[in-house]
Amino acid sequence: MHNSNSHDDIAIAICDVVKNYDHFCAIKNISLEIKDSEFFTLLGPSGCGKTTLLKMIAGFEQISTGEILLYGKQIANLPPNRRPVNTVFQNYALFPHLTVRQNIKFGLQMLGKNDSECNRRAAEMLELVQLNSFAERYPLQLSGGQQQRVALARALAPAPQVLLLDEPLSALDLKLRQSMRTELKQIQQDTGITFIFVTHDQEEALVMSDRIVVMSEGQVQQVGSASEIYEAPSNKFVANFIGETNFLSVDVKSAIGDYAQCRIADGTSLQCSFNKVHTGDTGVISIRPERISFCSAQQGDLRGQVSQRIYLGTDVQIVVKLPGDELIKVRMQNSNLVAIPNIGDVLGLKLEAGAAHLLEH
Amino acid sequence: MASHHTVRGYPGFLSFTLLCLFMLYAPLIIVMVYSFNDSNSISHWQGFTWRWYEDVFFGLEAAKFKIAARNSLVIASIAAIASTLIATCAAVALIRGGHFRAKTASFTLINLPLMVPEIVIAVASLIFFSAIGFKTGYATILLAHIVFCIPFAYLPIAARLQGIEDIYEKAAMDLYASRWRAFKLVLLPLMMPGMMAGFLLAFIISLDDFIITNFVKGAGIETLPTAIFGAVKQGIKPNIMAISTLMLLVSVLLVTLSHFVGRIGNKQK
Amino acid sequence: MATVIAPNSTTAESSNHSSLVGNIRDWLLMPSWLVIGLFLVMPVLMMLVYSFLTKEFRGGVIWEFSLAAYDQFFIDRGLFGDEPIKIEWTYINIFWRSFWQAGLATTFCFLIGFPTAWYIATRTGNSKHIWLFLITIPYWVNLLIRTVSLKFLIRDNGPVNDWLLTLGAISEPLSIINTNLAVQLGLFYSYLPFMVLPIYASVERYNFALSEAAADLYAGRWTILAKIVLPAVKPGIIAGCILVFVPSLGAFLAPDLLGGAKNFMIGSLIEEQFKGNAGNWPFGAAISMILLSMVLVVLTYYARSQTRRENS
Repeated sequence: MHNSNSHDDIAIAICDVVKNYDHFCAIKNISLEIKDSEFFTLLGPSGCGKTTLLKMIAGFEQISTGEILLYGKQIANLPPNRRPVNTVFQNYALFPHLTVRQNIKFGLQMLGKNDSECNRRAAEMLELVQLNSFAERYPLQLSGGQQQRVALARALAPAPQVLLLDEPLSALDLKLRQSMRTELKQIQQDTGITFIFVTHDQEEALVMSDRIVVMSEGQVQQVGSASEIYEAPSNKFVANFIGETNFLSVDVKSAIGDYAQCRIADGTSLQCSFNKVHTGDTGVISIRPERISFCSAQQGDLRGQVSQRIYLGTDVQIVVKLPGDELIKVRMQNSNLVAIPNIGDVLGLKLEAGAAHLLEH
Repeated sequence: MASHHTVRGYPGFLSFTLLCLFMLYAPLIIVMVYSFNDSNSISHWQGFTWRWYEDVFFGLEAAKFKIAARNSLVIASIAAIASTLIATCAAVALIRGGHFRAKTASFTLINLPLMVPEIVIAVASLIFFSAIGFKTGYATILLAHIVFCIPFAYLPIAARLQGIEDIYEKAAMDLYASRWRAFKLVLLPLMMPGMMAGFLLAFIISLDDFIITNFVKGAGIETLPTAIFGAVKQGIKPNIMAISTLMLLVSVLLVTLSHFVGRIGNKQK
Repeated sequence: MATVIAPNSTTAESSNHSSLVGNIRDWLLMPSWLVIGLFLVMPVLMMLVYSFLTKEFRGGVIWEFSLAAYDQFFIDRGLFGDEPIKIEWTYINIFWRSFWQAGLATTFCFLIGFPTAWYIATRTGNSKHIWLFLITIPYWVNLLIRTVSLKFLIRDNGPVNDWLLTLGAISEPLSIINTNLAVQLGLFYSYLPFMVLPIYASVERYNFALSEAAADLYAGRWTILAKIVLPAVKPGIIAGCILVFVPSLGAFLAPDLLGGAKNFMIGSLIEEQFKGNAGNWPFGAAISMILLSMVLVVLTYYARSQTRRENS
């Protein structure tokens, strides 16, 4: 099943993994392949099973059935201390009784590396996360951001084949979180180590990841790059979880080639993109609010009356009521260059090409 | 001062608190003061003297008290070490062992010595040792002390361990530490303040015990409390007050020590 | 959100290889089970057996089944054992006195202990730690020494009488020692810290917003105390009462040193059966069993009420 060629470019293969607890099923048959040197993100709401999946890779949770392969080698039955993967824990779990340097050296010492090698590697890591001058401090004497870097250095020091990160930025404040995103991404590219990153923050996932898996209720909803997931969500859950969107129920007239012809409640026909072969007569389409613009009532793909105007600072959100009573959110930049519609205006709505996307069932 | 309509303060509660402290401390302080009273037996104050302390260390009964003190210290040290070790194992198993069938039963068993009245433990131990033909003496005192020191050692150790998230051991194992090394290098240093506090409390409890020791000690062997009790039965002589003052100071010292050990631990955490 | 699909699924719990304890858990529990089982549970069972044996004069037992110990406790057959059966009141009275004394001590401890615990728990910052520390110290000072101190203080020629005589407040020394009052004072003094600490812990956790809400709804401070605070800190009060009542019931030092021969409580009665020349081991074992079963009833009731509280 796994030939020797694929071992080099597939870092982690998760095959038909199921996790049952006494009274519920946390993971319902998941299969995933995570490529070598990839920044891969597990994204989903809390309780979706993403952390459980990460813990199963780290060895803190046992799988009920299935296999986990690390570069082609079965690791599901190894205890955590025999798996060449390391974890950056959510609240860092820095050993409070050890200094920063001792924390970083811990894994190397456990691997039986000699003193000089431990010291050399620890120095390298301190350099990498720019904490040279803090080496002899204790974790509680550091700020949250510094603790975060120590946790990263500690996990990277033994040069793991895969680095697991369990919501590592969630304890930081907004500004720090944003700067750490770029830094993390940079470190990942510099070291070339495969990162598996768990988060519930969609923005974080979109900014950093090469590929994202969206999970919900213990199942994979969609796997793809940030733009694939945002532009072409495969189902209602993904479309709703990532960013903001409008849903409209439609009758599907035809679904051949690149576009499907769909008709909304008031009879207007729309051309929609879709991922897979669509079957059935009815469906749901998703239209991102920023892909809609206003035009005169006679023009445009849709027509409606402005019912609400919400000021958001950089943007303005306009809510338009369609003849079939559906509400459509439209986002436009808050700028003096364009006229912002007033409540009560009857206007046309113009969709960008491919803005309407037909979702799978 | 403007009267705050605070819901925390109640008029008169301070007086009760002061009364409470007064009642707890008055007898102790008076005994301390009168241990310096230059009078042979009565409690009329007749000037300051050190002579009762000299009497404790060099007087007629000095040899008896010295042996009793040594017995007390040896028994308390061994009992405290043994009960701390036993309690540590039990705490790790109960708090880190997840849910299992005998958990509640084990917990109850460990706390059983706290629930059974001391006099009943004393009677039961005496009967048991006599029934199995175990000669009462050093060993019986020690065994009985280990048993009732276990819950006292257990409480601070378990409290400490509960405050340490299991994420630290997990992180250690993630960094290639075996279970034993994760315990030795990470969990043990973190729970050490709890173990120290547990040890000290067990030590005080063993040092203080009278009732159980009195039952299982057998003839000829005395600890400090049984020696003092024997002497008090003849009447409270000033040298008893001196020795009481000394023991009181030892207790205060140990409690203060355990208090600070606990505080250091909390800061580190 | 989570779906039930396999209620009987075999979970990984039994072989969780990331748990620190894992499969050596039972070995870790073994020492405590062994030591307490062998040297506490076994002895109590043995004591139960002894209470049904025949006494040997000079202490010890003869291995012959007998109900004599319980018979002696409850039934009066006259001096020579030939009179009509009556209830023996001697020992029941001692139990009754012990209950009465223990109950009274518990009440007094509560009356002083509650305001104290409240006051300390409502302090802020460092002063709270200092107050608490002051209350804790006597808790750890040798009970024997504390009792002896009290005896010294209140005896006929003790400092209290000495001062009162010097001040001219009394002309004769007050005889407090060897009375029920002295025993009561001793019990109260011995176990007062046991009342303060659990109530303190409860008040610490009390949410003062509840008091504020009651005050906002026009309740006076004493009404708040009775209707809001007391129900909320009840677990601490019950724990404190048990911690005072149970040891008071079996107390030996206070009645022995302060009460003298007339004011016997259960503890002294038991001790006499083993230490005195007129030793009667089966009788002593029987009294201990009766005391233990009463204590266990109280504790079971307490445990039940705790479980009910958690479940509700």
